[in-house]
Amino acid sequence: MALMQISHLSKRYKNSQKLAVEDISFDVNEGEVFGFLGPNGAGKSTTIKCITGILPITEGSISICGHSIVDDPINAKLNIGFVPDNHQMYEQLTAREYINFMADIYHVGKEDRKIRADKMLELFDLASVVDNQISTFSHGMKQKVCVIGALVHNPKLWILDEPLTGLDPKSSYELKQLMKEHCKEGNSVFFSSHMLEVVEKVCDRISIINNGKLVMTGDLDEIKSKSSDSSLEEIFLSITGVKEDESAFEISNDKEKVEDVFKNGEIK
Amino acid sequence: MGKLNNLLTLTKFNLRYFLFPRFENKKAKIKYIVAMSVLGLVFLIPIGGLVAGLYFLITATQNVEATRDLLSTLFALSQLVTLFFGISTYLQVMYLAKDKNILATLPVSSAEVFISKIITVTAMELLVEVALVLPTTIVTAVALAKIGYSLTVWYFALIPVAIITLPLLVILLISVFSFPLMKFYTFLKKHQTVGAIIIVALIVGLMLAIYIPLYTNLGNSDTNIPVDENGNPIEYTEEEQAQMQQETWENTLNNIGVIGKYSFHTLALAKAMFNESAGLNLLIYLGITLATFAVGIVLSIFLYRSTVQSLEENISINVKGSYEETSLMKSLMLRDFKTTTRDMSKFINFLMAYVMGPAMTFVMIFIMSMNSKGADESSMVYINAFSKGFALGYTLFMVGGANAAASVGFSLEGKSFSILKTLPVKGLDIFKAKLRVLDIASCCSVTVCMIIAAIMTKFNVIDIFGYLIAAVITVVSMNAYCLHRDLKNPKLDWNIIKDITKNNMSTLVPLAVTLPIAILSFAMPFVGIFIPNQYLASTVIWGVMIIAAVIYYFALRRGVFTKVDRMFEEVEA
Ligand SMILES: Nc1ncnc2c1ncn2[C@@H]1O[C@H](COP(=O)(O)OP(=O)(O)OP(=O)(O)O)[C@@H](O)[C@H]1O
Ligand SMILES: [Mg+2]
Repeated sequence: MALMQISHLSKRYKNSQKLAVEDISFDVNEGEVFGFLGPNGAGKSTTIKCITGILPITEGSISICGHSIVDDPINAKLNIGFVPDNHQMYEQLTAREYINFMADIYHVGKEDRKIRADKMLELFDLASVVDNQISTFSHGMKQKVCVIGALVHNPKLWILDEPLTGLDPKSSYELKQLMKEHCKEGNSVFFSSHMLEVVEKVCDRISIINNGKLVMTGDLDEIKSKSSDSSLEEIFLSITGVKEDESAFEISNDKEKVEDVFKNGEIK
Repeated sequence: MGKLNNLLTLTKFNLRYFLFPRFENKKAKIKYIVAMSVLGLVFLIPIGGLVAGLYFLITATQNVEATRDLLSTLFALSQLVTLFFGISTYLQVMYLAKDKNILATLPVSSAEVFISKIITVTAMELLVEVALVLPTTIVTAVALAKIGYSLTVWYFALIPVAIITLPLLVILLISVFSFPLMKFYTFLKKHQTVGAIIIVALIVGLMLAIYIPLYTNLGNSDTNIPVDENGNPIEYTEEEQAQMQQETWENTLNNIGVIGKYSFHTLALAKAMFNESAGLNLLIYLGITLATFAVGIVLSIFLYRSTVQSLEENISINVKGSYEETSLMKSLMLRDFKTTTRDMSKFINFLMAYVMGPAMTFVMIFIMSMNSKGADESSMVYINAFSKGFALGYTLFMVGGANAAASVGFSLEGKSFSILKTLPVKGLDIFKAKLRVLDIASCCSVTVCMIIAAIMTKFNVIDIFGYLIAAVITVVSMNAYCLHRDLKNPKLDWNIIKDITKNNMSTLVPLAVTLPIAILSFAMPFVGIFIPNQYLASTVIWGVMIIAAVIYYFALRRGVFTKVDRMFEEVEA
C-alpha cells in the first residue's frame, strides 16, 4: 500500500520563471526505504519541501496516509517526521526543551516521549548534554537532535534531506540502522542523497531526478537490468550527463528517449 | 598603504550596506520616502516643542550667560539621546551581525574591522545629532539676534564640529561599556528571574533619577494662588505680575542650565561658541573628546576581539530539565518567548520595542512640563490638556505603530521559519501564540506609560482606567495588524535586524495607521476643557477614545484572523 502518493507535482518559486520541479509522480510504499537521487540543483530539496508543507505547491497533489498536504495539512503532517538538510533548528533552546516542544506539538504523552527520547539520546551519546543549549552543539550533534525531534512521535513517514553529510562513521551507521528499524515496524523512510553506496546498501527503491524532472523510479535490480552500466554510479553519471560521449546508458543521454522508455517515471 | 586600502574598502562596504536602503523599483522608493517623511514629522513634534520653548525662554529672559548654559544642557541631552539609541545600533552592527564569522576569516585585522564599523555606527547616529543640535543652535542664534546680542563666527563655525564630535564621544563610551553589557546579558541568560528584576529596577531607578530632581526643580509650578495674612487673595499690580513672571522664566532657564553647568565638556564647547576664551575652551573640549577617543579606541579594539570571540562560546543553561507535557498553545508561546529572549540581538530588539514607548512618553511630558513652568493659570489648563493628550498619543504611536517587535515578528524567525511550516499546527495557532506573547509585553509597556503619565500629568481615577483601556485595546489591535502584515511578506534572510526594517513598508505603514487615533487623542483633552466637572470631562474624553479604540479593534484585529492561515501557507520558507 502506498504511504505517500505524489502525482504530477510541479513547483515554481515565486521569484522565478522556471519550474524547479516539473510533473513528478511516484509512490512510497509501506515498509520501504526510498532513496531520492539527483545532482545539485536537481530539485530534491524543493520536492521534499513541498511534501513537508514548507512550500506551497504550484500544481499536482501529494497525499500522506490518505491526507492531502494541501487540503488536510494537519493530519498529513502528523504522520511525518522531518530532518531538514540545513539543520535549521531553535538553537536557543536546550535539546530537552526542543524535544519537549516537538512532543507537545505532536501530542506525545509524557511517558512515551521519555522512553523514545532517552533511548535515542543513549544511542547517539547525547544523554550528558541534553540540557545544554543547542547552539553549543556541533554540526553532527545538531543533526542528531533533529533526528530525535523527528522520531519522537514515531511517524509513519520519516523524511530526511541529505541526512548523512557530516556524520561520523559510527553515527552514520546508527542512523542507517535506525532507518531500517523504522521500516520494520511498517513505517517508511524517504530520503535524498548523493551518497550512492549508501543508497545502494539501504534503499529498497529509488528515484532519480535531474533538472526538475523525474528520470526513473524502480528497485535497484530493475534499474540495473535495464541499463548497460553495472553500477549505480555509472547509471547516475550517464543520466546526469557526465558520460555523454560514452553513451554507456542504452538509451544514451537523450532526454526525449529516456522519457520514452521510462514513461510516467516508472520502468516498463 | 595596503592597510589603509583594506580599511577604506571595509568602511565603504559597511556604510553602503548598513546605511543606504536598496529598492526594487521606483514605486517602492517613493513609497519609502513618503513613509519616512511621515515618521520624520512625528519625531519633529517634540523637537518643534523644544525649539519653540527655547525661543520663548531666550527672548523672554534675555540672559546670555544662562542661554550659554542652556546650550550646554542641550548638547549633553543630545548625547544622552544618542547613548539611548546608540547602544542598540552599536551592539547590532558590532557584535550581532551574522557577518562576524565571515569577517573573522578575512585577511584583515580585527582593528580594521572595528574601526570601519565604528565609523559606520557614528554615521548612523549622526542623524540624531543633526536633528537635535542643528535646529536648537539655529533657533538660539535667531533668538539672540532678536534680543540684540550678536554672535561671533566661532558660534557658526563650531556647529558642524559639535555635530560630528558629540556622537563620537558617545559611541566610544558605548564601545567601552559594551563589554560589561554583553557580560551582563550572559548573566541574564543564566539567571532569568534575577535578571528580569534587575532590569525593571534599573529602568525604574533611571526614570526616578532623572525625574525626581527635575520634578522638584520644575514640575510643581506654583499654581496655588498666593494669599495675605487674612487669607484673601493678594491683588498684584500688573507691573508686579510681569515682574514675577520674569522671575519664573529666569528660574526656569537657570534650572535647565544647571545640567549644562555641570556637564563640563559641553560647557567648554558652549563657551567656545560664545567666544569666551574661545581658543582655550575649544582646546579643552576637543582635548576631552580626543582623550576619550584615544582611550576608548585602544580599549575597545582590545575588547572587540575578545568580545566577538566570547560570543562564540555559548553558555549552557545547566538546569537539569525533565520531560513535561504542556498544552499546545502554551508550548508554542514558550518557544516563542525563549527563542526571542535567549538571542541577544532579538532580545535587544524586543526590549527596545517596549522600552521606547515609556521612554518617549516620559520625554514628551517632560518637555511639556518644561515649557509649562511660568505659564499662568489659564494657559496651564491648556498645557495640562496638551500633556494628557500627548501622553496617550505618544504611547499609542510608540507602542502601537512604531512597534519594532510585532512588525518583524515572523521575519525574526529567519531561516527557522521552515520548521514552523512543517509542524502539524494551523498557521492561525502559530500566529495566535506569537500574538499573545506580544500582547503581554505591550500591555506591560502600556501600563508603565500610564503610570508615568498619571504621575506627571495628575490623572484622576477615571483617567487611569480610561487611558489603560483605550491604550490596551488599540495596542493589541495594532499588534495583530503589524504581525499579519509581516506574515504577508516576511524577510527571512537577514544579517542584522536592521535589514528587516530597512526599506520595508510593513514597518512603516502601521505608523500611518496609528496616526488618526493618535491625533484624536491629542485633540480630545481640549474638548474636555469646555466641560466644567473634571470627572465628567474625563468620562467624555476616555469614552470617545475607547470607542475609537474599539473601532480599531474591529477594523484591524478581528479581520486578520481569517486571512492568517492562507498567508502562512503562501510563505516560501
Ligand atoms: N528559494 C528559491 N527561489 C528560487 N529558486 C530556488 C529557490 N530554492 C531553490 N531554487 C531553485 O530550484 C532548483 C532546485 O533546487 P533544490 O534546492 O531543490 O536542489 P537540490 O536537488 O536539493 O540540490 P542539492 O543537492 O544541491 O541540495 C535550483 O535550480 C534552484 O536554483
Ligand atoms: Mg538540497
